[in-house]
Amino acid sequence: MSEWSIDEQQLLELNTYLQRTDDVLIHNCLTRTAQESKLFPIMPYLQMIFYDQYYRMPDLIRKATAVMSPEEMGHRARNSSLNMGKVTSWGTLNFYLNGRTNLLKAGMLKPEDNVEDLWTMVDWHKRFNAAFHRNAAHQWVLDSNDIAQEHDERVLQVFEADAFEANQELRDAAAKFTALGTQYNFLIHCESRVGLQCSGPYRLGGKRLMHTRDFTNMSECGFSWMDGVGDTVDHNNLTLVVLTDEVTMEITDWGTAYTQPENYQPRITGVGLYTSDFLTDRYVPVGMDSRQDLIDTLNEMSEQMKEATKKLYRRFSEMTMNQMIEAGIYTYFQCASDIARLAGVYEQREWEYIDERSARFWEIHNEEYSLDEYVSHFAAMDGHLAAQNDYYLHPVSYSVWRKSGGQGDVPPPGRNANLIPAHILDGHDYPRRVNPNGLSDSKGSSRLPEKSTPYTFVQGKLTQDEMNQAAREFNSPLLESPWRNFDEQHVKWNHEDEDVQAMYRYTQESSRLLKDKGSSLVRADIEEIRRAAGENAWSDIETGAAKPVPAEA
Amino acid sequence: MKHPTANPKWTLPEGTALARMTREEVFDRVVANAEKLGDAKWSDVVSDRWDELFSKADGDELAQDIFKRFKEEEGRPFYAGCEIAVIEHPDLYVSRSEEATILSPDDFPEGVVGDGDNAFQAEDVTGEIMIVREVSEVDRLITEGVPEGVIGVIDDAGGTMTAPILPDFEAVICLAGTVRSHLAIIAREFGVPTLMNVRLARHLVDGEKVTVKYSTVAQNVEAYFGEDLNERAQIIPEG
Repeated sequence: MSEWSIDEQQLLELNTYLQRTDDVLIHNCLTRTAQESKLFPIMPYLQMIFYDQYYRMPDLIRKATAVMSPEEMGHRARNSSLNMGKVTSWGTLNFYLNGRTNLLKAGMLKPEDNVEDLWTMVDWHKRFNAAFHRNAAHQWVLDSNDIAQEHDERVLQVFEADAFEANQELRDAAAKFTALGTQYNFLIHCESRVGLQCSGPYRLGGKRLMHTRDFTNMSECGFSWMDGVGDTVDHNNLTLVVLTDEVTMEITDWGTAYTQPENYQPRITGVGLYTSDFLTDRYVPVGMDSRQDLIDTLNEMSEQMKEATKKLYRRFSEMTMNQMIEAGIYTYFQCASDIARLAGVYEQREWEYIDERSARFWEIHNEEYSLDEYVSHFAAMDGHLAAQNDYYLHPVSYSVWRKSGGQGDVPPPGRNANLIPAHILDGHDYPRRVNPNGLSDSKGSSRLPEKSTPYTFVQGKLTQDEMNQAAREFNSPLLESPWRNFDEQHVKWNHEDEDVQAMYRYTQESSRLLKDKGSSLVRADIEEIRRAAGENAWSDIETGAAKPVPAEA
Repeated sequence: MKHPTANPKWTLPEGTALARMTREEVFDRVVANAEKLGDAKWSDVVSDRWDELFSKADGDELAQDIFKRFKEEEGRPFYAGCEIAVIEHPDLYVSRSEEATILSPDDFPEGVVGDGDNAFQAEDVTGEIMIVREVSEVDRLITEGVPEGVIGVIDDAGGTMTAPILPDFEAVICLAGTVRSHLAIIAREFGVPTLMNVRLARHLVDGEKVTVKYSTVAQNVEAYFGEDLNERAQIIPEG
């Protein structure tokens, strides 16, 4: 039985984090989405995942962090595109907090109950994101005004240098790939966007920007419904590098890019394509031998995804409603599964079942109530247990009211953050953990078939045991001292040191234009390197690719 | 055992009847169950005796009670967003889109049958309406193909219902969502002109010809944050 206790510094830190987390949640819920689907019972699965996350995730995080620190996970996620990133780490914490909200509002918890679990979840999120966002040094993308600059300069330089200048054929291929990939990914993830993550925008000078688009879980992966569907899609994770001119962009905590103009595709000036996973420490070029190779690869991938979309659509259309709800729950629950994979402790059976404590609420969460509950908790912030004192103004709802010019009454004093009462410092009757005996306290079952195929990696297909062994044996100089600590603040002053040069050369090993160029490159050098290779520097290209594009790069 | 959160100093009403009655039913059951637990410690109940506080049987029973009470008070079954809920449980659900609000023709300029938020600015499109509401219909169109020049009418702002056929439409009219919804995101990527959050003066009919003013400026993505809305794009019947 845990005797963990919280001190005042931790309590204040925790409550501050809970409030900021909730501000980000409410902001995104109010402005970013309309939760609905004609195909999937999205609202029931969205509410039901919250319970499973509450009952199981703290112990799953303890299991993984016993092997690997949250900081290590953050560095890994920054160096290659995993499914664990912005939106999935956001989900890992927020689904838990939303489960807490649901249980609080049902009268089954007090705010201080299971406070050690709460600390574990917040601590993991804070530390993972601090490492993941090491360069930008923001916890939340919203804190940097919706720009998500995660990649290191050494990675971005390769992306910039190696991207192929877009002619109309490449532009069309990239647009088609993005559209089909986005659609296919929404379907894989039961209408959710947790398999899609963008980063950037990154400055290229003039009115040029670069951003990346990650498409994850595209092949046979941790979802049983991808067995025999994703097998014809060659790559599980793909990262599209997109250079644009005269496009403005924001990227949210949910990893979605919104552009102005909305149809930005005609303003794409350069494209690159890569794959990676947690068993690679760098981005591996895909179809990057020539522009024509890239066009052909993007078109081939598009055809693969188009056919897989049809197969997957039919698979889902044969499911029962309860199976579809479970698929949605597992999609969200597995947001965090990379932490177990990274640590080499992944067990599929731990990630695909419904806890019996969650199952209590299954029938209550009909379609309409689930939507009403979502709106009540995360937009309207109303209800019997939602009020703060009569003077309270919520920072987001008040901001909406203020920006509307004060139309209508000042918003009611609803609050969703559910802070921990300070009386906990004086000792009260509350449990520390939801599972006093760990994961063995969690029991449940599943209506979906068990996963039966291997998992897809850059190095090929691996069984669960092979995957865990490969994860435990994985190492990279990028993750060990001294390179691990060569952040951009170090590079700024020490770019001529041989150790730093070696780290950049390691990153450039598969680069078509920067191989062995080292760490002292700046943009002007990259532009000269492109010109020397017979390609236009990005600053040479006028909007709309007015200058002739070389016949073949 | 006295329930620890049964009497908060400050409260707010729930925004919908269903949210209110579900909270009342569940919360009251939890409070009643807690009272039966005598001198038990709250921390033990939360951790080890959770099924005595609220059991699966409680949940199943209350779900039926809530439906009965809701139907009596509201005079209808639950709304469902997804098709499979209505197919599997026709007694429990009616499709939300069946109940879509049709505005008065007086809410629109003369000759205009509806309007919506433009997902991105494109050229105007004239085409025949095809209403797509069912998975079986999508399945048929996967096999047979979408006829050329068709404007698809979809009442789902998600990105999956029409996933296999969306790029084959000439344009799309979506009766729900916002310009930030998944459907709008995908439509922009495909370059399929799309109106979101469409309001109508009457139901559109399969095969009728309309012109949609996709040349209207795109809706401001920040408009849902209380800033100015752009003009909505109009739908005009032909002939």
